[in-house]
Amino acid sequence: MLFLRKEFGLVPKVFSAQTLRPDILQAEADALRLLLLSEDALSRAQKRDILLAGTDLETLRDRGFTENQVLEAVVTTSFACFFNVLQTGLGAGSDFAAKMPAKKAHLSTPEQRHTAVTTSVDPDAECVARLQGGDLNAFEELMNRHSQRVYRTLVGILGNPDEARDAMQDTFLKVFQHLAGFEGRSKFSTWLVSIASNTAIQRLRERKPMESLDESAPDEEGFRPRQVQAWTDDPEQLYSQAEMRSLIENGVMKLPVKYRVVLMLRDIEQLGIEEAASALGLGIPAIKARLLRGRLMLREALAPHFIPSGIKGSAKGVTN
Amino acid sequence: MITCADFMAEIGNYMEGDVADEVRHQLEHHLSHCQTCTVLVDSSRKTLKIVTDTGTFDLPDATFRPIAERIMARIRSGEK
Repeated sequence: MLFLRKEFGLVPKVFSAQTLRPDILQAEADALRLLLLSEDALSRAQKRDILLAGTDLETLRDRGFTENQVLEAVVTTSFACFFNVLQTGLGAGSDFAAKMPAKKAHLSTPEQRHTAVTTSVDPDAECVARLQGGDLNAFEELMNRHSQRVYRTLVGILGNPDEARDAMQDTFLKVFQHLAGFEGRSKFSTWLVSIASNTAIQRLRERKPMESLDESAPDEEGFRPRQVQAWTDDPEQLYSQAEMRSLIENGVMKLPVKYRVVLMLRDIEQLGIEEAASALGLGIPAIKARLLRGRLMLREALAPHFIPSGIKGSAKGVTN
Repeated sequence: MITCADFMAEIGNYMEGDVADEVRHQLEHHLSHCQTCTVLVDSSRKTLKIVTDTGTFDLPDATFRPIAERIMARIRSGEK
């Protein structure tokens, strides 16, 4: 039921009406689980709004939804309609009149229909092809292009710049070694970050009982913002560039690894949410949740440096 | 009427502009009378700005160059 609330946006009444047939309930939940997207997914609130408003496809596109999200909107609404029919048949009454966003679907040309996964052009494709053809200079080019990204991934997980520099050699040698296995199903940079991430995780395991990057690892439920005094208007004017860099780096390094690496890839390395999720082997919702938590924890750590001194010490925190 | 806890559940999506208009109106209505959540949004935005604007965790080219040279030497010598 938790899955339905979280991923589908609601628990349809039919799930209460069919409690004597748990096998059917399970099959319906499994079907939903298979069809709802794990990548580029709509949020629960977005699904709820789409179900209630019956927004058509063109409007969704105009509002900036990706084609994957539009597809998920159609799937979600179709299921809601299906459940309503089922509920009526069972005498359970309908949840609400779910409206179909697909009514303008015929406006799309066949090329625009998203029954297949679309891929974007990889800016490294030409260089990778040269390398796979035996041109070693292409590898040097790829290393130069992505050294910062690999370094930040390694620091993000290892939490130690010296060890990260040391792990760079392992990472790039593994990349070279496994190049034949790279089939271009993801971008080269995503594949590279996933190798860097695995290299760092392996080192962590060897070093100490590791902090988990797994989705199943519970988040720190107890975290609540405590520093709730207003910040100065222009924090960047308070410190020199070097001081600011030091403040941020210290704050980031103190984050638990699962938040640190996501914040490092998304906010510092500016990877897209989907690319970060793919590289770390996590789902979009997990990446978004960790990114938010990481940002809030970093905000908490930085706050004492940006709150005007006259109003310090009156924190009441967010409790409700 | 949404609470601070409701607001915190949506703050990430709100800051990313990833909420429907109706939800955004509700969140902004909450902000209009909640100083604590207003401060949280403002300081979170400032945090994000300084993190993205300040070049942090840079690997200087002078540091990377010898690493790259060692890697290329091993690759060219056929050692893995």
